[in-house]
Amino acid sequence: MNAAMNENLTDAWTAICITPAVCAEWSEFNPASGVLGEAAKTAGAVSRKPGEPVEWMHHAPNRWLLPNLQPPLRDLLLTAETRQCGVLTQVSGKWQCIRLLPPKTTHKLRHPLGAGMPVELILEQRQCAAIVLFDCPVIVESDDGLLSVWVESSYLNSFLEMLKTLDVKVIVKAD
Amino acid sequence: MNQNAPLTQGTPDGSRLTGGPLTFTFDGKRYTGFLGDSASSALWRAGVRLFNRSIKYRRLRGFLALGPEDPNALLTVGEYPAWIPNVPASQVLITEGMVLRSQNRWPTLRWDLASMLLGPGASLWGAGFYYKTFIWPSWKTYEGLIRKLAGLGYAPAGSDLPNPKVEHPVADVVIAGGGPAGLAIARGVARSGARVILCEREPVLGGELEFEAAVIEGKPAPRWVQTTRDELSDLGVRVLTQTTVISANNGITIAHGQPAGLPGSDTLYRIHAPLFINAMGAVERSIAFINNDRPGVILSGAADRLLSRYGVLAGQRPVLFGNHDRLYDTARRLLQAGAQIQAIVDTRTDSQSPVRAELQGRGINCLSGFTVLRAQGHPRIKAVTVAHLNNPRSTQTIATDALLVSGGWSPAVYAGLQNGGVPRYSEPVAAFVAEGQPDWRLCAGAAAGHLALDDVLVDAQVTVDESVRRLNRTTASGSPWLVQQADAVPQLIAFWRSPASRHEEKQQFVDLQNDVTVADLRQALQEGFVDIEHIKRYTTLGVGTEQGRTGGTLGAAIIAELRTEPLAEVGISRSRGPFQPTPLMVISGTRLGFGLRPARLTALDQAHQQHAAEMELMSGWMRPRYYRGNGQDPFAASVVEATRVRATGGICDASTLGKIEIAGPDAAAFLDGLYLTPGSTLKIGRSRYAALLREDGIVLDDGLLLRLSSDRFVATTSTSHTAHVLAHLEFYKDTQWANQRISVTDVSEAWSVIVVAGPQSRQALVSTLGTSWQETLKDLTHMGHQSGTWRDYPLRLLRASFTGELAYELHCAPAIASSLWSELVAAGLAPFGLEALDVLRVEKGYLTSSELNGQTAPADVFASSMLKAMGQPVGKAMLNRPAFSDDNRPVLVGVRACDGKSAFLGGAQITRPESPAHSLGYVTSSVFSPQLKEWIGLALVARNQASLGTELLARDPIRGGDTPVRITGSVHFDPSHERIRV
Repeated sequence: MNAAMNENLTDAWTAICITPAVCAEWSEFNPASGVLGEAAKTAGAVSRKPGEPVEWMHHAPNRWLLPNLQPPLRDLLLTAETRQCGVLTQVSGKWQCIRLLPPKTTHKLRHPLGAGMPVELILEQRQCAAIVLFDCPVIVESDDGLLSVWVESSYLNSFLEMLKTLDVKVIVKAD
Repeated sequence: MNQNAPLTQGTPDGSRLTGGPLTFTFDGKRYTGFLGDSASSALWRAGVRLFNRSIKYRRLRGFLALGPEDPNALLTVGEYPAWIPNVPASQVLITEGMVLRSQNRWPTLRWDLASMLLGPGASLWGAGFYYKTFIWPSWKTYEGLIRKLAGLGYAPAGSDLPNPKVEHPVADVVIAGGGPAGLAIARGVARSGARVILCEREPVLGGELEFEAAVIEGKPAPRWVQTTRDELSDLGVRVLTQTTVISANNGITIAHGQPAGLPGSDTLYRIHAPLFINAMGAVERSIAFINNDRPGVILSGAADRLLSRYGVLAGQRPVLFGNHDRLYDTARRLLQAGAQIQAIVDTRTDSQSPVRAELQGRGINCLSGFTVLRAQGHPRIKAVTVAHLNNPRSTQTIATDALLVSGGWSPAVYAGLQNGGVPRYSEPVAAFVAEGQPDWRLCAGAAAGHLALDDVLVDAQVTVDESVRRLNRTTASGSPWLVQQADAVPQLIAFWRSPASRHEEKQQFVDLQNDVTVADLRQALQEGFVDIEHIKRYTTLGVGTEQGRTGGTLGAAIIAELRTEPLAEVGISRSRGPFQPTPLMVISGTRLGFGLRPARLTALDQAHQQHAAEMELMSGWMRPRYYRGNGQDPFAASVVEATRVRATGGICDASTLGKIEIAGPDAAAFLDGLYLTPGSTLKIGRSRYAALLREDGIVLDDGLLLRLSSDRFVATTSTSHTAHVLAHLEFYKDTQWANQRISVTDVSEAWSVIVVAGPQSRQALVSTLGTSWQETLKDLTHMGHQSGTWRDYPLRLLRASFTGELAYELHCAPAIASSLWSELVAAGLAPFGLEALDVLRVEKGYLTSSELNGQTAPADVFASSMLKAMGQPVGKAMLNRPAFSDDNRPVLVGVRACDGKSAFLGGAQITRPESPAHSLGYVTSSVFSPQLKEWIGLALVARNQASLGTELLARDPIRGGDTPVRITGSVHFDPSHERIRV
């Protein structure tokens, strides 16, 4: 995802929908292991380098979603798996990412996701949270105020239709 | 003030009016109003006094109040079929061309046929009459007529209203009520830095300050309201007008925003705030006297609002009647507006009100110790009969065109009586207040029983201090709220009803909306009802849209008088949320139409559409029931598709099956402890049919267990049980197997599954998957699996069958599922749907949730070989219960019609022919078998009746009668399973 994904030149909320190519879940046996580092132990923590796609999200106890798994991290986790620190499970195709961009005129506009959840409350003290939103299991994630929703693939169509009823313009892209 | 001001004089002097004129119709007649007018005010200004007929006696009614507490004026807005019934006339703002209708009358409001029939027999329709009548010969005889007569508005036949919006705002405090208390509290709490949301049901803030001649902090009330509002804006307070709090619970308050008082642009607010403050004020109530429901009898507060908001006089020659000093303030305002006050009837004997003295000095007839016995005139009020309370026989008649009544105020306790709140009677205000509030709720102002403005603002400051303390903040300094002028302290003395004979009590109305009279209350007591909650339900006191706001306390007080008990002992009934009627579509929020529930799609959904599949929602997924090219109905198509699978082959989308990866060094031991047959004995590259038990021994679900490596397994589940099985596994991983090295991951959506079944399935796969899979396909035995790739995507090939044919499951990445499907079609395999799949599996006696129905134990449904191989799973300990080995315990059997051709359906009860009323079990599944050319089924039958060949009856009186059947083996086709092992 590049900087252009953060731009919205329209007057409507826009949802950009992306299917990540390589997606995995890391499950750790011992919370103290810290295979992904100390910061990863914090509930709701997210790792992302500036301008880069998200690296991992700590969305459940002892579980991390790695939506864009690249070789260095993959190799690290496979090594940790052989040391019996945890299990790396391939889940490509399970999650879809919907990034919500506010309209260019953003004066006190209500977030469309506010129709289904208290946006400020959910992410008040965390960067990601696994919740049920519009009856769909999702992970909401904040990137410096810009929200993305990771929704399970089978729910994607219903979720996007719901966004359309909230006057969100939907754009579907390949990664 | 001339209420009939001609249009040429412009907009009348009302604070809510902003322009116009507008034209609208009421019962087909054209009227004129102004922008900002409610239906009530516009019609009243036009001289209309008849708005509706009451629900039971069909008595003509005007409006009593100018808020949602009005029990009378509910109108229908719009045209059929999309009209909106039961809209409060005081809340709906008129628009150009609006069509309004009165309700509950035929043929016209003025001349209603039913009232001519019901009126004379009114004494027959007392409290609870429907429990004692309409019995012979049967209720059905009367139902049609009663349905025509009962109810209020008629439901629409359609709706073109847009969906409501939904918001989840977050705050520290939510305040219900934007009157003086709510405004003062909002300002005080916001000054501490807390986030505040203020909800006010009216379009403007201020509450009674709209008309009360008050001066606060040196400012006249309207300016105080405005400057306070400005400060709230500066402090970041979110003010939601035309928004009513309808429910308040710990941490979440629900409010309904409805601009213009009409559904169509609603917003449902689910406000997340740890503290809720009820500042919803108090509701004025009436007094019971004869014909107190006459059009033209309105609450004195309504008269004040009518004048200040809309510039309309309630009457040119009004009489005021009540039991407190505020009557005189109201009278003075009306006098200043040009009304000719005929009399002020005060039930108290001694009022020290200086305003009273002033009015007397101006020649106004002020009667002390008097009461109104009766309202006279029909259809609207023309006079009142008054008498001294010490000498009710000596009466006077006073001509009038409006009677303005006030029996005091009842604090808005409905929010305060939920979640443990209890009512306490307060003598000074002759009303109930709510006590015993939970930590997250406060009551303030008039809602807490403070009626004088001074007391309201003092209480507001106390509430601010308490709120700030509970929020762990510091109160910011601010000037005190000094009241320099206000309406009189009421000095109220309770008065509930005027003297009347027993017969006349039938015309003293307590709850106008449900036509509940004093006579009804007396009758309820005579019939033995004691508790106020029982009396409420028996008489329908307070069960209407106004939920007892105007009649609840009045009714309780009259009950107390009739029982000669203190009112505090009688108490009041508890209303439930929503605190104000709310359209169901608003409560639904986003769950309307498409948003009702998500429909999950597999990666092959487009492929099914292209093949003209008849899709159906099953267990939350859109699944192909059959393909229309094979037949126009499910029966015909299933025969074609099932026959084709047995003859050549077919493909089916099984992606909805759950797939759970269980991995880790302790995974095998974990599975041994949960699955019926041990996972640890499963070889790598093999799979096994597996079942899970609940803790009570009942079968939870079945599926396949695949072993991918020494420490990695995949468990499949039935579509409808995926979440349940996942939760079950996670529960035990986190408890009984805590600290073990186990991972449980739902990979259902990471793998699409295509079933390839039939004699030609292997050939089709060879041509589709390519040469790299050729050896595997040749060597793979039943229940074996192999992982590899196809077009660089992971692919897992499993040889397993749910059809009884040679069959494979292709577990592939969703990204290539469509391509793979297309290739298989090109290889000569046609799709088959769930109807055909059901035929194929019933022919083989395979199980689904029809058989594993949450009541069956392993011995009821599984083969003995599986039971012998049972390990030590969760639930096994409970299998020794005597009930599981009872002779009547059901067992799975096959059934066929004795004549070899009759049909029978799932759900039919199995009985002995000689005991047709005694069920031995039921048919769990039934299909027409194209292979066997007859109806076949599976059933759960008492094991002591289930010997092979036993002839029983499949009883189905609702759908088709009885079919003689015989018990067979559960495997109807290819019982030796030769076709699977090809």
